[in-house]
Amino acid sequence: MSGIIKIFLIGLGLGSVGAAVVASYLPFVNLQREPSLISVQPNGGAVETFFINLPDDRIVDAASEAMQSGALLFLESLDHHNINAKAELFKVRNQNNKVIGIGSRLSSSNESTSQFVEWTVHFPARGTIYAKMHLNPGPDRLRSGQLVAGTRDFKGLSGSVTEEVFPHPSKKHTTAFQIHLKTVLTGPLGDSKSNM
Amino acid sequence: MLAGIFVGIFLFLQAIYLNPLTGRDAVSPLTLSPHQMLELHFSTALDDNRLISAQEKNRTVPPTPTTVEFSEPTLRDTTVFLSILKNTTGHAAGLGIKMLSKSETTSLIKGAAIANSIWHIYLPASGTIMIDQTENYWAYIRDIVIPAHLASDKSWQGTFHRITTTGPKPQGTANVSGGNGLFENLNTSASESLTVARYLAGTGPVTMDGSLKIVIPNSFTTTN
Repeated sequence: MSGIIKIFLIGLGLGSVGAAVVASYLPFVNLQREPSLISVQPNGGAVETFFINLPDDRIVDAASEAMQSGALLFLESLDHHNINAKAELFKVRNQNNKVIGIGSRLSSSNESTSQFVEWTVHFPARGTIYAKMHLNPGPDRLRSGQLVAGTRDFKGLSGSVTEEVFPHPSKKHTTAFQIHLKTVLTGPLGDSKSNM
Repeated sequence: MLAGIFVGIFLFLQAIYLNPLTGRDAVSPLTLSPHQMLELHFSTALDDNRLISAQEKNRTVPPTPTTVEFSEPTLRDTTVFLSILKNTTGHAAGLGIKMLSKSETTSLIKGAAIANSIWHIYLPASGTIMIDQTENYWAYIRDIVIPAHLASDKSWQGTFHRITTTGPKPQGTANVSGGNGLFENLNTSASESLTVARYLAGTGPVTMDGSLKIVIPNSFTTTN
């Protein structure tokens, strides 16, 4: 009888220790990663460009044909504020045309405090960049801006972000565009040597 | 021997499930803050979301749940949530987009079901902010999801309120970065909490309210 109890107790120990080992080493979340396609500028800035194919990559109402249709308009009357803001959500791709993240673009042309255009681009395996853009694009349709904050891999970085829209040939859609989001990021803020 | 192994595994799982030291935070670390607090609420109820498509102005967008999920391998563990944010009096205060990804730091043995999430928020007449946070959903899974799946009617009903924010700031709060408007150059803390009253195993939470508390430093309010 005592032999059976001993074997049971050994099994009990093995079971609980084994479960603890499995729980410690088994990855419950395993994020898929795509290679980061970064080039380095002579001045030290790391350049990376992200792509958004429209209308396919628009998350909400991806079936719409026209570039601006499908954007969410925030038309709700908020107390006495008269607002006209637009929220857009996109899938974001790398140079290999692989979806690697999600981007939200908020803009308002009728804001009482300040008009704005800004991006938040979230990469599950890397982190997030938060950038605010100049309101009016340049003559070559290039809208420039700057990184406000970054998280995880982008934490402490500073630099510029540009947004440019190009016509993009598509077999599926009569009208298609591609947004190029180009980031030029440098070392941690306050690190004067790496920013020079 | 085999019976012992099974009992050992069962006891281990019980210890993890019933561990009183994990996922019990119901009080925000910001409660004692001497600064002014901006409080925003959001709900998963479809009626509370009044986002209107530019193309079909009579249609509520998204037409089904406000949470969007993805099939791409890199976004498999990521969801996007859109919501109108309300103030403490129940009036619409702004628009919030939440992007949430499961984190590889999730660990069953530590009682940590970790997610990295970002809020991109626009508050009319105030400006825009981005909130970066690490959240722990273990208490939500343990107290609601598992009991709902084990229940005979596949549902859970009760009162659940937890602070989900656990970082990335050392005191367990989220990082807030101001973007435009009055919030320009704002750098402060925030925390998010979740209140659930009813959950169905098949469809998820039926009544769930979230709350964001954002610290507005006194120096910031006087200078802006």
